[in-house]
Amino acid sequence: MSKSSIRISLSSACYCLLGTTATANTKPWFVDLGIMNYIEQDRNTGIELIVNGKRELDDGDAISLQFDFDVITGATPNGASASNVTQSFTMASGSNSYRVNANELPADNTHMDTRMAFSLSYDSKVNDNLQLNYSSHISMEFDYLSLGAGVEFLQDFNQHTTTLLTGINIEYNRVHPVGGIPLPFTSMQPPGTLQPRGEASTTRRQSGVHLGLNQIINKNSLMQIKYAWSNASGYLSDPYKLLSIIDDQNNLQLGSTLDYVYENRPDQRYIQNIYSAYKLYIKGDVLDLSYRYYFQPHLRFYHQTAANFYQHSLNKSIPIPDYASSDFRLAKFNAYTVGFKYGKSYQENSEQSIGIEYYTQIGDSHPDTAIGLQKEQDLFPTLRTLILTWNYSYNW
Amino acid sequence: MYKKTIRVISSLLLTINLISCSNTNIEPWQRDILSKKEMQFNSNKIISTMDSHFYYSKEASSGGQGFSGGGCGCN
Repeated sequence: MSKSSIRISLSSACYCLLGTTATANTKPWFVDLGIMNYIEQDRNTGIELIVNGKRELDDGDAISLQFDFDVITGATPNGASASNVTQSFTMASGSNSYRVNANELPADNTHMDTRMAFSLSYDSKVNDNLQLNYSSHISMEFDYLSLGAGVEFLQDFNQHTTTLLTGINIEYNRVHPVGGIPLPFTSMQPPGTLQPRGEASTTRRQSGVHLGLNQIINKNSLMQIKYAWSNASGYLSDPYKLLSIIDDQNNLQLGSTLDYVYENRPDQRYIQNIYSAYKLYIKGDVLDLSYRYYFQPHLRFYHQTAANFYQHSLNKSIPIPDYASSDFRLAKFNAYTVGFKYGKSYQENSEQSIGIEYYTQIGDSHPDTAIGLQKEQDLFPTLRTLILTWNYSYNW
Repeated sequence: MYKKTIRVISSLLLTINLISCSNTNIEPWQRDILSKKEMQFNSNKIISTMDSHFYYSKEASSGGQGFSGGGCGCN
């Protein structure tokens, strides 16, 4: 009924700086443009575009408006297990189907999703030591709507060497999947037939709190640690995810797939995570008066435990549980990110950077619970992703 | 679940306590490096937003940056 995960993220940075010392900022307008392109091996490709405009006010406050647009297309895992025979799946619309070759990860290669979001934030400087950040967003997909708001307090201590931060946030989401909400654990039906669907739409809510600390360690390094807890409730299943029903009785085809059913997740979920970051300045020299650059390596390690309702598949002879999902994102795995960011600034009012990162997610490909033919299949294929980012900032 | 939560919070409080006890004496004129934009946490909101959205869509925990759901139906 609950899900907890521990996130430990480490980042380090070293910088090589060339250039002049920045003068006092008398230019209150900022525009940032960013693009991210990530390419998953044999799965999805995503492009995200963000434009952010910020205006600093005379009293130290700042207001900003941000626009996000992203597109994801490619093959997304549908939750079924790989099999030694070709598999056919009914699309969410119920009118067509797609096929997956034998011994390949079942993935919906007709998948395409677009999202558009607006967010508004206001940073209020209450006094020299206290700042309040208010934020809100609206995000829209063709099958999803999200509204959210939050506030964060940042209190400085010890002559600004220590910052305590805490905040709360709430979110309301409406899910209206293609074809309607599948009835839990009902069998997928052939295309063109009556599909086992219930309501056209439903809701999920999420609220959270976080507590953290920024600490200057010495004149070259600083660290941050954050703990966040949140509670999600409502419809938390993925309406497009299936589970394979595996034959565990017939010795002649032990481990073969007999059926596909729609998943069902608990309607309550608790999430907690710890985030830690460390920044270290390595070396800097003034060599040029017109520009400066920095080079920032980035390492990240992530570990999560499995949700207690995660199962890679269901066995035919065992009664259907109350909740089950084979979504890889709920499994136990480690993830690693390695990459760097290279930034360059010009004339103290514009800057651009590029980032290249490699992200990999490694889980248990051959779990002990696999039976018969399943032992020959990769039940958690390693995810390998190349992430490219570009950012341009202009200030006047 | 609750024992795990208590352990996590206890570890966090202990870390905060240890850090707070450290004698960090950095004078204002020694903070030129620390004041650089690239030395700030969350210095680039756009990159932070894109990173949070990416990791939220790939992993079960939601970012660790204080945002609740990431605003997308991808998880």
